[in-house]
Amino acid sequence: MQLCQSKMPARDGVLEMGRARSLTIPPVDNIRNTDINPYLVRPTSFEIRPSTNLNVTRPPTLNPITPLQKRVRNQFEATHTSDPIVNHVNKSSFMPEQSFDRIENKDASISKIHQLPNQHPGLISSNQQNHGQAPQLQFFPSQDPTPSQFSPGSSLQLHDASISTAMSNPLHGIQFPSPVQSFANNPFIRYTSLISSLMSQGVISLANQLPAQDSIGTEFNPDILKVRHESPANALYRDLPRQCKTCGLRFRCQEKHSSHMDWHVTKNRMSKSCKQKPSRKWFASLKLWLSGAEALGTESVPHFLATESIDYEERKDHEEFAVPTEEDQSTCALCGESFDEFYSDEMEEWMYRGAAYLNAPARKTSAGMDRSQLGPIIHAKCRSDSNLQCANEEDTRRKRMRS
Amino acid sequence: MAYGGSGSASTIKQVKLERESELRIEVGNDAPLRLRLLNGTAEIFGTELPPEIWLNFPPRLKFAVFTWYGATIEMDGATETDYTADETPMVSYVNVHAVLDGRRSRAKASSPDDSVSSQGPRVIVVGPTDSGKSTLSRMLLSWAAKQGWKPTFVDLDIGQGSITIPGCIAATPIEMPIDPVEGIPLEMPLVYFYGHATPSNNVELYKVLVKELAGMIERQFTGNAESRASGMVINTMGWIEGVGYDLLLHAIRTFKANVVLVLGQEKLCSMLKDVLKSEPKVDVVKLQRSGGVVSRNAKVRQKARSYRIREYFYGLSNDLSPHSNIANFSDLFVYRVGGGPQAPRSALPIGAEPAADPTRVVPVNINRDLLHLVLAVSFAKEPDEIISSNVAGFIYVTDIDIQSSKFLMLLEVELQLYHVYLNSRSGQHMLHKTVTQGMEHLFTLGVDYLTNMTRPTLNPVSQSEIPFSPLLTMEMDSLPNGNNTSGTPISATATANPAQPPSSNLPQLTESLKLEHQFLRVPFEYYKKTLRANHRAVEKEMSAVISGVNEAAATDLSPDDAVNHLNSLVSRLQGLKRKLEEGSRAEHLQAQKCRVRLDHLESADAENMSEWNNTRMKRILVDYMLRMSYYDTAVKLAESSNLQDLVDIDVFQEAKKVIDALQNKDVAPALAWCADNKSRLKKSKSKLEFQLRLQEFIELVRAENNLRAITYARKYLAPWGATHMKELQRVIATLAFKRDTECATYKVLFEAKQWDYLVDQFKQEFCKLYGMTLEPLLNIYLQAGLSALKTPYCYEDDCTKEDPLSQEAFRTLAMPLPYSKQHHSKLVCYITKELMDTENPPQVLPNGYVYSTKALEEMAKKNNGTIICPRTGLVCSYTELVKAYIS
Repeated sequence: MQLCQSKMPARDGVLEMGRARSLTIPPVDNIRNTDINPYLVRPTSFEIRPSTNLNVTRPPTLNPITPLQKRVRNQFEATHTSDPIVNHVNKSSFMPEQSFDRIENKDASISKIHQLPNQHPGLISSNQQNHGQAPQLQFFPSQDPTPSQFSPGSSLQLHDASISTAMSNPLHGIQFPSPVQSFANNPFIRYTSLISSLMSQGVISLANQLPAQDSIGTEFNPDILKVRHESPANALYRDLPRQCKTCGLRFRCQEKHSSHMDWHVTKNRMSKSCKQKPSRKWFASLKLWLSGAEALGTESVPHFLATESIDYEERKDHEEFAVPTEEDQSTCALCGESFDEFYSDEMEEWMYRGAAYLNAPARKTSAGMDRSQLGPIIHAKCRSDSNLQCANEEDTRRKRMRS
Repeated sequence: MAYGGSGSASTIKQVKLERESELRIEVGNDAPLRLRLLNGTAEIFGTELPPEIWLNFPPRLKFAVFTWYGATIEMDGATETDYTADETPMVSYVNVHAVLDGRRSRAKASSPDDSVSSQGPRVIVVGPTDSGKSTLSRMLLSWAAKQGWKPTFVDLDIGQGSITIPGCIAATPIEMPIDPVEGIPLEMPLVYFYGHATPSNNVELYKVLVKELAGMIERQFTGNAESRASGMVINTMGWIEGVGYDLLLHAIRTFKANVVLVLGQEKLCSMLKDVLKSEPKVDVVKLQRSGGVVSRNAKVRQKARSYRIREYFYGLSNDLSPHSNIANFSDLFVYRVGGGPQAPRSALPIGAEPAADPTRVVPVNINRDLLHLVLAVSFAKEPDEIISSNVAGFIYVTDIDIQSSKFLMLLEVELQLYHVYLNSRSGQHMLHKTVTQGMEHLFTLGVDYLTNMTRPTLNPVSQSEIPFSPLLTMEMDSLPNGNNTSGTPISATATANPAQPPSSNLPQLTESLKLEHQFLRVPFEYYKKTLRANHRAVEKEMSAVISGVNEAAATDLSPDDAVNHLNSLVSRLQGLKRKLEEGSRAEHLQAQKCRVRLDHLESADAENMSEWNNTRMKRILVDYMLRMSYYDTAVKLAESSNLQDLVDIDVFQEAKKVIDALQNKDVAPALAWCADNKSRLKKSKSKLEFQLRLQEFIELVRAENNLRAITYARKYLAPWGATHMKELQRVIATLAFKRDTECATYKVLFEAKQWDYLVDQFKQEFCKLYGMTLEPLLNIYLQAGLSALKTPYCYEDDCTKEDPLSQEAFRTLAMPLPYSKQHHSKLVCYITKELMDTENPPQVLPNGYVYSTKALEEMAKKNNGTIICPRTGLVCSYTELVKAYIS
């Protein structure tokens, strides 16, 4: 116990967890003193400690340990290879198993379960206060009563301890309507907040998580090499969802897929342009090879032609009057002269140059008006000259309509 | 479960592979095998198969199809063997890849300045023969390339030649998964030539080359961070005992391998672990050998080497055409490395060492011993640089002519053979320049083939595979002399004298160029058509994209829908981009063709008039053949004379499709052509489409399908009623008269010759659209000449044979032409057919008939001074003749 206290000033980050773990060990300490020292001396990562603890506490039962380890590894694999949502689900599903394991334990598990409430008040206080010193100071009072609760004695003493722990809960203002459910949810929340707290303090860096994500790692372990893992095959197939239907190559993003399609187009064009069989080329010289020239030369994108200048002829045609040609009228209804026919590329029709419909509004599009309402075709210049003639024709039509 | 399926069934066969199982295949010896992936995912040696696309595997190929999640494979063709295996070491192989991938990521994350931590894994694959080293190397390379890395493949196995040919060590970057059929791509290799199939022939040389290769790769890694992070995969030989083991250690140390993968050999793995224990950070990993690896004996290995060499020159599927060339002995330098055959140690005094230096470069005298050998072309500038220089390519000696000091060889690049035949002196010069530029020195694989292995038996080069264009050019050059004499009568000015001084050719040329309107107009019209099509495509796509954007802006889309919408717009634009790239290239080609023709017209001058006229003659002939539908002959003539850019084969090919369809009574292609050129046909007031529709209507009436005919008329013929009412009424009346009518007015509409009429109409419209003359150029040129020869006398029965118009074909051509203008009359003797002029004046007999003086004198000599008139039989004395005078 003194050794633990002496190490406190040296490890600020691990201080809290060290205390928590050391507090849980005293019952074991009475049985085996030699196990405590190697455990404390070994610097291991956070995730590995629970499994190590399990190994230490239950060496005789080897068979139950193996499935548990596999389950732990599976959880890790699933966690790191799946989406964050699934990650969340896995983490939440992980805790019930842990609590279930602890319930199975007889004396040690009971003491562990009761220890959790003591830890959480400290975490809450550490979260509430931003001071570096204050959380530790706040943590000390909660730790002080603990040794007195774990006095060596019979099981009756343990029961008394649990009762006293339950009595101390109202003092912290925490209510647990359902003990099992609250244990399942509360540790997870505290665990997450603890991790974020440690990360904000810079104790844990992101680099530590990178090796954990890769289940294979960067070392050749014969036991790992022989077992099938989903991540290597998934990295080659399911993690690359886009596939070229021509050659089977896979891509992660659309940009590379598109450039690959462009490459196919270029390759096909080259093969088509070669009418006769090609010959092999000379190999690259050493200088070229050392420069690391790209094996597949990328063709430069052809520049589009400069913007064409405005066609002035089209402007003139557009400004001038013109109507489509008609078979049954080739002369002006007013002056009797023949129309000048020309082909309009824009309209793709043969047109009468300088012509307009008699009844069409001046300088407005005739779209929407029926052909029969437009009247005969006339020269635009003829219409502007004689308003009187138009009036006369209108009178003539009225007479005809009356008769 | 593994079941054997050796059989020669040639039907399509399906194999369903379970998860983590492998289909192992040996293609038959005679025919290729087609294979495709129906569903699921599968790979061949690390390269994933595309879904539902057939792959062709050449004969004798051995490969395996593996699947991680399950797949269905379909095979078409015969196999020597194919069976499924469900126990493979693939799991451990891919786990090794995962570890290597982790190391690559770690190296990439390191600082490029740190050359140790930024180095990716340097993997060497070792093991006995037939343990699957090459296959494992391919898998590791393909998987790495699939995940975006660019590992360097190093092949030290000189017996196989994975990268080039056997006898070489080489390295190449792998940027894409390795093709399951073609193998390692040969795009950027670094090759060193050893010249033997096993290193025991010259161990020192092998070590020197390995060191050179490793040094160059190290330099490449220093300058290329991506290559360095990707690392390398080294494939080794199967010789793992004695000297082979020493060479293995030498390779591991020279390449600084930090991952040693040992395949299927406990002893080798143990030995390497012991030796490399002291090496820092070297992992020795034992891997299981795949059961699918095929064992090969020495004979099979030797044959594979021959196939590999042949594949280098001709391609795996005969898709390459090696060039054949003749070189002088003085133009090439041939060296051998390692000196001559060494004296055995037993022949020397005890304790004496062989004097030969294993890395010495020795010149080789060119003799028949070089026949059928493969020579490597070195990049070395000096002989002493040969062993430290990489090679540029290979030469296979097919023949050696000692007397003329030449030898024929296969090259993989095209030399300028043209110069060799046209001008021997400059040809030699050009050849020398070209040869020395690429291959100043050679050294030989030769002698060792004689002593160690069978010579590679390449198939003799067939005549069709050797380019003979220089010979053809020379043969064609001899033709103009004959053509020029016949070309004179068809020139525009037939009376021109070929012997005129050159200065007078320019006016003649100016007149002649007036007939070249079509020459410039046709490619220009074709070019304009392409421009309009591309412009129309741009307009269509851009309007669609703009409306799509406006639609997206107007409506409130959810973020996912908006992203999908924008992605579809991006896809459309990318499709447009590819289409425009194709269109741009087409435009460039057509602009180039216009330019070529302008240059051709400009190149006509007094000096090369003969050659220019010869080319024009061929152009005219090609044009005539194309119009007469002799397409193949026209293509052959254009190709043999290199006239592709000066004739309009592409344009006429377009017309050919329509004409063939019309001759088969199919109007669909013609209607499609009308739709493509709708605007311009309307501009020229063409009736072709109307006539095509009428003919289709007639066919429906002929089939007595009147209801469909009426529907067709309402849909397609009614719009033409405004402009062609009378013709439309006449055709519609066939509904009443039926197909077997005897009424002449309507019977003619059902005759088969109506289709010939349509073909003619199409040809007219086609030529008009592209600015071509309605008549073939040949006819126009002939008529220009015939107009100078046509006289009334030509159409009489006694026209002379020398006159072209004595033939019916020319008479037909000249029919519409006016008679030529004659300033003076010409009198021709009835007896001798010669002209009667002042030197040969006409003489009149007493009966009034006129003959030439020479003929009458000849007759008088034969008949003792008496004359017998050939037309009336009158007998008279020569003294009774009277001389006539021509005014």
